[in-house]
Amino acid sequence: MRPERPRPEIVRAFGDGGGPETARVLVVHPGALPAAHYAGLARSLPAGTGLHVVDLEQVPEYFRAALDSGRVTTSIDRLATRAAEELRARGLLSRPWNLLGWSFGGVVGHALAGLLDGGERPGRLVLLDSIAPVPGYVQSEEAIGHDMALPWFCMYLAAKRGGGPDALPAEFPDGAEGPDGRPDAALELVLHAGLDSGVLRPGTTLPGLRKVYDTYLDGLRRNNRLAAGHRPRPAGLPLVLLRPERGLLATPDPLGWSVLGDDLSTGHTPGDHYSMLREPEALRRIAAAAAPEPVPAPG
Amino acid sequence: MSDTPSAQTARTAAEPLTAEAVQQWLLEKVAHKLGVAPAEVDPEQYFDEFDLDSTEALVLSGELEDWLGFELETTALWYHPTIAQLALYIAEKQAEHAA
Repeated sequence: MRPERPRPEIVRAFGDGGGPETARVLVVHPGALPAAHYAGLARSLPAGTGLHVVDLEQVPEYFRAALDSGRVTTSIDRLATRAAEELRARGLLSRPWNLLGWSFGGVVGHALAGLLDGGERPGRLVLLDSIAPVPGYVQSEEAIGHDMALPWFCMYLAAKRGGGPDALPAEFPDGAEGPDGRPDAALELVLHAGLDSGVLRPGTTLPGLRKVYDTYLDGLRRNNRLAAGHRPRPAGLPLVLLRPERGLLATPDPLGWSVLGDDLSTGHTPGDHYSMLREPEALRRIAAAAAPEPVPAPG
Repeated sequence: MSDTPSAQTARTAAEPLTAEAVQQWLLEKVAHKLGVAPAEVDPEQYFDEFDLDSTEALVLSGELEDWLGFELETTALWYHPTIAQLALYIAEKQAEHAA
């Protein structure tokens, strides 16, 4: 067994350490990118607004499911319950606050909002390129193949390693999947582009890159399995969906969220699914959507 | 081909897979990635305490599998989180298969 050692906290605070916190944004983060990416968003929020991130990767059942070929031993409702307990224990479920979820974090955030009673509920839920866990948007296991996943992987790898939007291929005209069902020829293109652009460290090999990709794919499949087993209920609060210029899906439909809320508005940001958490103008728009309205001064 | 092992790292099937050999391979790989001498890498240090991000750790894992010639459970680095522990685990696993 792995030796016991302190794990990072599930809830991590960013932001306004200089003064009293008069409002807050709570974030559900699904991993893939480090939680430290939210430091930029915290700086974009108004003074006095704190930002606290629930990092699902610090929940062992969730983290391990991506290491174990997508074998899932938890559920979205259990993850949401855990998040609520952690936030409640820290006294963070007091108004004014808004909830924000990027990618799969928005799905868990939606379930979390539905668990809270009236006094604890957020003002609204801001969804950053999240795909609703509803029929038509939950994929079959076979549908999450290399042709879908590899362009997303390139976005992910470029964002994680500090590369620009053109650092890695955006599409694979000949298809990402080879005749043997493997994506090695396409990964070879990614490898060369990554080495040329500096996204990958010199000396990185195809077997090494293949492992990064396979683990990314396991994470996608884990989240899809969790979504497939989830039965969402309308959360009864305003939803704001922000979509980047290059999101996961190109559909004009609001990614299935209209099924789960009557009060849904949609906005847009620069960047792609991953870089929207770093791109300055995207952060400005996300902060504007997520910041709670100030509480009027007494008297 | 970019995935052809170098002469320095190539392993032949006849070469015995000892914990020492795996540990030496890992020490050299981690040292190369960190830009330090292998002697400066502590085999008892947790992988996630090296100055390698999670992408680099996965690249290392994939390259290790390529050198070994067989796949490891992706949880291997989780349950055996130091160079010394992982090397011992791999040698024991290989010995079980060979028995």
